[in-house]
Amino acid sequence: MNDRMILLKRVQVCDFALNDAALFLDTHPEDKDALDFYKKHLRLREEAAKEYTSKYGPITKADYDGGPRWTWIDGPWPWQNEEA
Amino acid sequence: MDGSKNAMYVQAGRSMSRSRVTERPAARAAESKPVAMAAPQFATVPATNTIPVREPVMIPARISALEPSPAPASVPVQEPVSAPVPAQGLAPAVMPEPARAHVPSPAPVQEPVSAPVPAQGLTPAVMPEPARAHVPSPAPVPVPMIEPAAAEMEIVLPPLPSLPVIPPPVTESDGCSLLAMAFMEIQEWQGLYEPEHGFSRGTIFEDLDLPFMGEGACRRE
Repeated sequence: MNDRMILLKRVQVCDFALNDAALFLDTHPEDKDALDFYKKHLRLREEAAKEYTSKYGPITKADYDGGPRWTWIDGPWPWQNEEA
Repeated sequence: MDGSKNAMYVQAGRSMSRSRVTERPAARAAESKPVAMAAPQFATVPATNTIPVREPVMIPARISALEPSPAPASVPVQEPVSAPVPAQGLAPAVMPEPARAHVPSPAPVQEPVSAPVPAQGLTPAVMPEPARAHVPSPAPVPVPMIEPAAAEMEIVLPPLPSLPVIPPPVTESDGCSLLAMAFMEIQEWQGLYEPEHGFSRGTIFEDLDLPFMGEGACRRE
């Protein structure tokens, strides 16, 4: 697994944890531990995404950096796994 | 609009099921009974006068006289509505006979803004004489079967098959029917996996890490 896949996996793991924690918070909106967990992993996710996008381009179209070029079309796209 | 159109057609005694405004005029033309409407005027009047447009469609018979041009032509009469008519100086006198013929204004087809059919007579007085004269056009309108069939045609749906009535189960206590009841403990914020492990297990909560059972289930470490 190359560096790109590692960074991408990190983003995916953080996203998954956030989603699961969000489901818990839906029924426990004031659980402090759950809220702290969510805030922590939200920050981790942003850091991981920033590191990935700075090296390999946007993960989603919303990651457009405002530059002079639409880097979204610069491959490979996030879902394209070059290594089998 | 469609509803109103349908209503109007019904009034005309024709089914709307498969009629189109554009088609109707031709059919109706066959009916004949030229209206005193001033065809020419209508021609002059821009389609903007939606009101008149509708009329022609509605009255195929009357328009029939106008066969050459779609019924609307006859309808154009709309006189009352058209303020613009005067602007155009449409005055019948202005309109040459041939022009009227050309009228076949698709516009008339326009949504019958106003059903004011009664206005048909759009001021008959306003209608130029010539228009009437022109009306009688035998136009070989292929009166579609629509006419007669349309009048009587009614959509009759077959009766739906009756479904068996299954009474709901009744409990013994108060007679209310219950399908199911579920009880579960409130989940606690505990037993969290590490994010990477939870990602592979499908949940970050150990309490919810349960095996799938049943056909097609597969174990995954």
